[in-house]
Amino acid sequence: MGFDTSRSNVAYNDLVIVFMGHDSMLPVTVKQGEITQTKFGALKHNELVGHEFGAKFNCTKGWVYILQPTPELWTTTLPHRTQILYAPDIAMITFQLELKPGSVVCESGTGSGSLSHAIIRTVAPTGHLHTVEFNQDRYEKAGVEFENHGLSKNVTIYHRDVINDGFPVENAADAVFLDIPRPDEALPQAAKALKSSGGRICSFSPCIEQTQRFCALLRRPGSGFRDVETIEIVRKSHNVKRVNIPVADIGLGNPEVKQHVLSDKGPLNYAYETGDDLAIGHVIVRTNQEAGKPCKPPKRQKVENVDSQESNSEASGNVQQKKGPEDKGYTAPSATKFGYSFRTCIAPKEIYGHTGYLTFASYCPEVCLDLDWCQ
Amino acid sequence: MNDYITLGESVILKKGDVLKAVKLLPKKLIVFERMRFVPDNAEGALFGSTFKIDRGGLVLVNQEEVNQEKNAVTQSGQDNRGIVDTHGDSQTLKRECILQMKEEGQSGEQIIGNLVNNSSTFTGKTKFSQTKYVKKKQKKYSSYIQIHKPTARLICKLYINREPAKILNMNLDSISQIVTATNIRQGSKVVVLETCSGMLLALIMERLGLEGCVVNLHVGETPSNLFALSHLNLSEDKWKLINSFPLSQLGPLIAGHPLPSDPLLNAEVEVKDPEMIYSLTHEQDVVVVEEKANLMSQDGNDEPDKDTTSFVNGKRKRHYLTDSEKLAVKIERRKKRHEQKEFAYNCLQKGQMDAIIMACRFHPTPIFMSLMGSLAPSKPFAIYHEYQEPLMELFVQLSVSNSAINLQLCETFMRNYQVLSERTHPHVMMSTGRGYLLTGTKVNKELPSTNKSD
Ligand SMILES: C[S@@+](CC[C@H](N)C(=O)[O-])C[C@H]1O[C@@H](n2cnc3c(N)ncnc32)[C@H](O)[C@@H]1O
Repeated sequence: MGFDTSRSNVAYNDLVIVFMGHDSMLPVTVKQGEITQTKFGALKHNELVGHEFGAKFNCTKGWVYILQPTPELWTTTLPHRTQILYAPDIAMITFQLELKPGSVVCESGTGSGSLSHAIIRTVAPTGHLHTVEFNQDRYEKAGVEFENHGLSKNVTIYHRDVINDGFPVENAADAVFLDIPRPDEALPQAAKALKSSGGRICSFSPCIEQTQRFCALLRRPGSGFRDVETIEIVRKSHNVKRVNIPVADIGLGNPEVKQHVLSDKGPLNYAYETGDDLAIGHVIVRTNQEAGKPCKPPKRQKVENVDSQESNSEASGNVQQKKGPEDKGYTAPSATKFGYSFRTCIAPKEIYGHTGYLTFASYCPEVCLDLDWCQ
Repeated sequence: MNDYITLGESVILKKGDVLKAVKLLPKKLIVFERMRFVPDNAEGALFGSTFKIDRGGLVLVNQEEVNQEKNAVTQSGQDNRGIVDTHGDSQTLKRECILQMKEEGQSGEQIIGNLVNNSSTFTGKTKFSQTKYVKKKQKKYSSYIQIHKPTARLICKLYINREPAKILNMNLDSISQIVTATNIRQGSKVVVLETCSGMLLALIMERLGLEGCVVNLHVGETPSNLFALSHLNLSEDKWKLINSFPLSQLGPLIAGHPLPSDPLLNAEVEVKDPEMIYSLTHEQDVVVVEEKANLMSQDGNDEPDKDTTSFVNGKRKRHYLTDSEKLAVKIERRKKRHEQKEFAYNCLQKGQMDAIIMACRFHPTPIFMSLMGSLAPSKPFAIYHEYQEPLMELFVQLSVSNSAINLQLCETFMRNYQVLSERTHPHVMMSTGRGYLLTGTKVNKELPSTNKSD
């Protein structure tokens, strides 16, 4: 058990997610007498039982958080047996397939069950997922996972080839999802499974050629499909960092020069103010200066102790292991003689720039007219 | 809701890429994309059906008819060698003639056929450019529309296409991620603050199915974000899952102040027709009517109009109310609202909510930090904002407070493709997908007492 959100305390046989950092999570099934080694030391299962989900928990060399699994956490921690779908694609698929409690969905192939978990969550407790996988080992492992996660009521897995043997239901599905190498060959099977009164279909393909063949079939007159749409999603995750950029010396050593440049008539009169003996940029961003008005008492921003080390730890989203000086909360950009310091978002060097093309269409054979004079 | 079009319910009209949500009322004129018609004939047709506008009414269109029109377009050149640049003179049919054809009641397709026949360059064009030409004209003159079942997906698309500013320029990818990142499912108890006309609420309500609980936070006295929801044809039971709570009561709630009582609720009023008062205050349509009124009057005045309108079984009723009846309606509404407030108050106070969703134009930090107490540990939240900087601030506040983990500040990029044989490429126009999403999971920062040793 594990995905049942109505319980708030850990019990034996629960799946829990041990959180050590946002890129370091571990799915653990809580068993009597067992011990799991984490990077913070041993975690005794017996001690977890009864604790509230979301609790901090001491291991021998540090602490971890014990989280209740969600399909999204599962996706980031599950054992990969195949390529899997990730959160942004999964979100778009469930949305565009119009899944909701009660929906009947057909999927092939099951693969590692990443998408399946999200589908089951959304269609439960009254809907059902029929998922088809032709690889014996993946079929068995996914079946065991569904069982262990307490999802059996809302999912059935079938060991068969969807292209040859089709889906197990006919005229019954609200939505069909395909993630197989030749989706076009499974389209007739998908159409058969979908309700003739209407439904949605989606195919995920990493390659454009497959997508092209699939779209051509969808668009064929009399196919019963319409509103064909292909999209691609890329998610950019940002790190929030404090950055310090140096302020260059433009030769303001001479007080007279400085005064001239920084005076109200000089070029730097708008952004910075000089105090009696402050270097340029030391403090003070003029906040509410109105044009033409003398900016007498300038608003001063406290000089903050700039520490460029601070940034990396908070960027990970994992605060507990932070070693550097504690960040005392949010501060506005500030300028000091050491530089100009501000918070910004920095994208990681590399991201998943391409996962696959998602093709969606509506199935409505009874009312679908061939209005597209294109083909 | 079934698969057939029913008068009295909301539907989505579609013409080309243009969508519109309307309520189909008998004999009630609908204006859509410069077309005017009454919807009566659509009753009983399957959702997704195509109709032609004919003499102000709807006629179901079948495939044969379409094929005839299509066959009008036959001959085509192989490439562009035969094309002469006629500087816009290639169309010999003059504007006046087109208008005249329209007046004569010719259908959009007939007009297109005429345009094609009168275009000197048409047959010289390749099949592809012919199609393009026809499509361009089709868009302008075609009088085909489709009627679709209202779903959260179509409602979201509609807002994205027509009123992006009203939904904080949110894109499909942000919208879809908000409800998965927060694990919304049947039975979820969710705190929502959205200033997106109810579009997000519509999606949340769809995902909640038959049970669950929404605490709908709003500014002012009454919620003004139920509009998109009204198009989902929600049953009364589903409306009951939404409990509106004014943001201005959040501070007092945290400080432990009880909800202020409403003196009006104890007033005694004589009512002649209690049933009518009930229907006036409990029907979803009234919510909409009421809301429209509220949108117009700044202070959220809940004085019922002189002639309040309600729809019963698709029929419009006008009610002329006496003063005491007006008061009764007002009291009944206030009562309902007060019950909701109390329910929401308890939800927020218990600290056992399953998710927090925010997508508003306000500075998010003070609101979100004040709501954290109502979320149970290990539960997710998602905050959308049009701008990155406020979310950066919230990100830092949350990580410093040690009350949330798994914080992610994301931006998604969605690209549409034209996929056609030999002509596959990304769409030329792409939405810039403004907006950022901060997601995370709440945790309990204290070590449990049984685990303090070490
Ligand atoms: C990329 S994986 C699917 C991953 C899955 N969407 C997920 O998120 O975990 C594709 C799976 O489809 C299965 N498959 C491929 N062709 C199939 C067919 N014709 N019938 C059934 N399963 C098939 C493969 O064995 C593989 O496990």
